[in-house]
Amino acid sequence: MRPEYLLSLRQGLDGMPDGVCYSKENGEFVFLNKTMKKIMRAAFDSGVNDAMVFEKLDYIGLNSGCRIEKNGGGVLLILQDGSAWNIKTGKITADGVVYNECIAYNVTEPYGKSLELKKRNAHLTAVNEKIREYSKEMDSMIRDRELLDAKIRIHDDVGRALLSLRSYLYRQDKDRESLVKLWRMTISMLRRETVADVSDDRMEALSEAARAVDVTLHYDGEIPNDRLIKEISASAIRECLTNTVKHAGGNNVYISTSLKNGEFAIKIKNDGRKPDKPIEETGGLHTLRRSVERYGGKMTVAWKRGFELTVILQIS
Amino acid sequence: MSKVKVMIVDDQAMSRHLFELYVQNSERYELAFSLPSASVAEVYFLKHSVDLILMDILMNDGCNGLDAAKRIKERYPSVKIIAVTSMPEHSWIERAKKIGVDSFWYKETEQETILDVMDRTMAGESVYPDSPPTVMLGLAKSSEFTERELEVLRIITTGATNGAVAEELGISENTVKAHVRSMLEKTGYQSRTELAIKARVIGITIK
Repeated sequence: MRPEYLLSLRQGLDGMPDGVCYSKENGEFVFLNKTMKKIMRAAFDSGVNDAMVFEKLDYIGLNSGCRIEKNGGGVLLILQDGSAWNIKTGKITADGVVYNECIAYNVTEPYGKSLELKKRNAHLTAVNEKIREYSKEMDSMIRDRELLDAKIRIHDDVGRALLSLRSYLYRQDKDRESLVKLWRMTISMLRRETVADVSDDRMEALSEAARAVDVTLHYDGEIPNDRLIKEISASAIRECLTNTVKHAGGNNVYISTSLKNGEFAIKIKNDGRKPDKPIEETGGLHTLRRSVERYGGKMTVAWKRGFELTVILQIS
Repeated sequence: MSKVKVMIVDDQAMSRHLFELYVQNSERYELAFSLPSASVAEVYFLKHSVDLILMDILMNDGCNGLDAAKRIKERYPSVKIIAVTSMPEHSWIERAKKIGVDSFWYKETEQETILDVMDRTMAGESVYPDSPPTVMLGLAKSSEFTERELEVLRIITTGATNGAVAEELGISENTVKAHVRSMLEKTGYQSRTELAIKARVIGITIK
């Protein structure tokens, strides 16, 4: 190549916003443009004379304030001044000689935007987490509102009863029977208004349901006060209760629970007929297995020595 | 003529007792069972028969009355079910119809009494309100939102990101953003968070 072309090529490469470096296979510099010189001065000690330095970024010492970040297949070099450079290395062959090629693309602007985006995403994640937590609390708030509405309705009924009493006292055609009925209803509601609402207890609802179908639930051990564990345990007991009545003709369901090494286990048996073949997991049992496994738990159904359902859940 | 056997399913004791009183004081109905959770309703059918269920939808223990209604209707299609709720959640009416729930009654706002709805339902009528009660969300009436906007809002109230909403509904994230922007304009709320929380408090969307 003619010297004037070489000069204009060098000037052209020097004017590039990206860093360009070519070296021999042993790391000896062949060409280094101005941008690459600046980058190397900022990143490494002044005495760098090995063009392969970019291939050793993982373990080579960088000047203070500089760092690297792995980004997919490439490496990002972030300098003390905040500029970011995407480093690509490779080999090229010219006139049968193999050279190392290293190009540092200036990605300061997109890198800054990606940082901003990350920050924004972190903020959004935190906000969404708050909404999720808030949503969990919401049901009890809604319950409170419903309770208040119901109380208002009762007090409206009391008002109605009082008006009826007044009308009764002034009227000639005294309909005593309907007035008494109205007052009985009102008093009954007022009495119940003071009764504590224990209806959130699924276990109590299960025991009542079992009694209604002539089955007694026998508990051995505690069920922790954890919403998920209570929910899955209640579903498991309900399934076994249904199977006891429907298939086994039993009258007792035995529920034993244990809590150790961060695991909760619930085992449920009945006193009914033993199954004569493996249990097919359809309907309720199938749904139960899906819930158990969705939360990382395990479920087994034994049948040879009598129906026995075991569910193991991790304590969060 | 024998009385209609009624099962009441409502986790809120006060509301349950109100229904009990209506039933007990009626000559046409008798109270068969009164339960605090829909999760066990089917168990009773193993040994008992019931003609009519008053089924609350939103239960405190996490189960949903419409899910229980669906299972009961599949196994015992002749049992009449009236879904009752005080929440203006828009999708519940359509879902109840799809399941085959016979009638639908709003606890606080209906002009008709529950006994009227029970009578009409037992006479073979399907009694449904035309729409959920209108509630205000910021500056907008609940009826001003499109179906799609309410779908987006329902998922947002669970704390899902726009990406997750887009994935669940099979639409692009930009479309989700456009729906959120439109809802913010309608309501006058300042942020997506405010929109999500207020929507959940009012009960316009519950997932």
